[in-house]
Amino acid sequence: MFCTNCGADNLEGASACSSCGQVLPQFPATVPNYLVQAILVTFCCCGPLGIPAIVFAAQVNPKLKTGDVNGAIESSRKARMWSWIAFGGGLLIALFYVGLGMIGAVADM
Amino acid sequence: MDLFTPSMPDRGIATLWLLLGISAGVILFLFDPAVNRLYPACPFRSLTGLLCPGCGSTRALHQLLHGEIIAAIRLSPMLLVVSPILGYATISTFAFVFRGRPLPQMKIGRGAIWGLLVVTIGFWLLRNMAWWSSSPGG
Repeated sequence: MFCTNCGADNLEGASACSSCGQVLPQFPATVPNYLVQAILVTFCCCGPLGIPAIVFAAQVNPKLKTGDVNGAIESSRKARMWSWIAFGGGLLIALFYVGLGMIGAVADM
Repeated sequence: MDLFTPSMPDRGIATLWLLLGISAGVILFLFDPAVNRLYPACPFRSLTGLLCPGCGSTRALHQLLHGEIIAAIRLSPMLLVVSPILGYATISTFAFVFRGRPLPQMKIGRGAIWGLLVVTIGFWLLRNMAWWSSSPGG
């Protein structure tokens, strides 16, 4: 992780910065990549809309590694956004078909 | 991989999710999705008539709960790839909440995620081909 004081890259889990001695937080503030959510929406509900979520999730950690924190945050935000779009889209379609089923059941009565 | 890191681990909410998960597991164990219309259909399949890469997963999980590992993999081969990631994510989330310390993070690099994407899309195309015999259908 990167030191909050001088920005030096330290080993994961280090208690103090190897460069300036700054005490590092025990739970580093990471940029979430939402990979788990992206996989869930791709496989559990919404197929195609989940693919961009996985693409953006793939960009987060490499950008962090090169020090592009803003880029990583941007990719993280997009991965989250596409996960929600996929989830919402899947939910709408599922509700539509549940509604159709109910109309069909009522019509059959 | 960086999982979402809750700022304040909430044991109440985590317990609720755990109970929901166990209830879902019991329902899934008791009622086979292959013969029961209790479960929601895949939206992609409803809309297009094609299989999505995850189609068959609910039936596969039912088989898995009954110890039928081969049947589960036949129904949803992608479970082999995806379940270790989702399984570890679930365990480490609950471990963080109930133990106070996170588990070591999964290191899933860009290459692995792109690999997952290629395998997913490849499998998706293949399973919709007419000659793909192990396609579970239904």
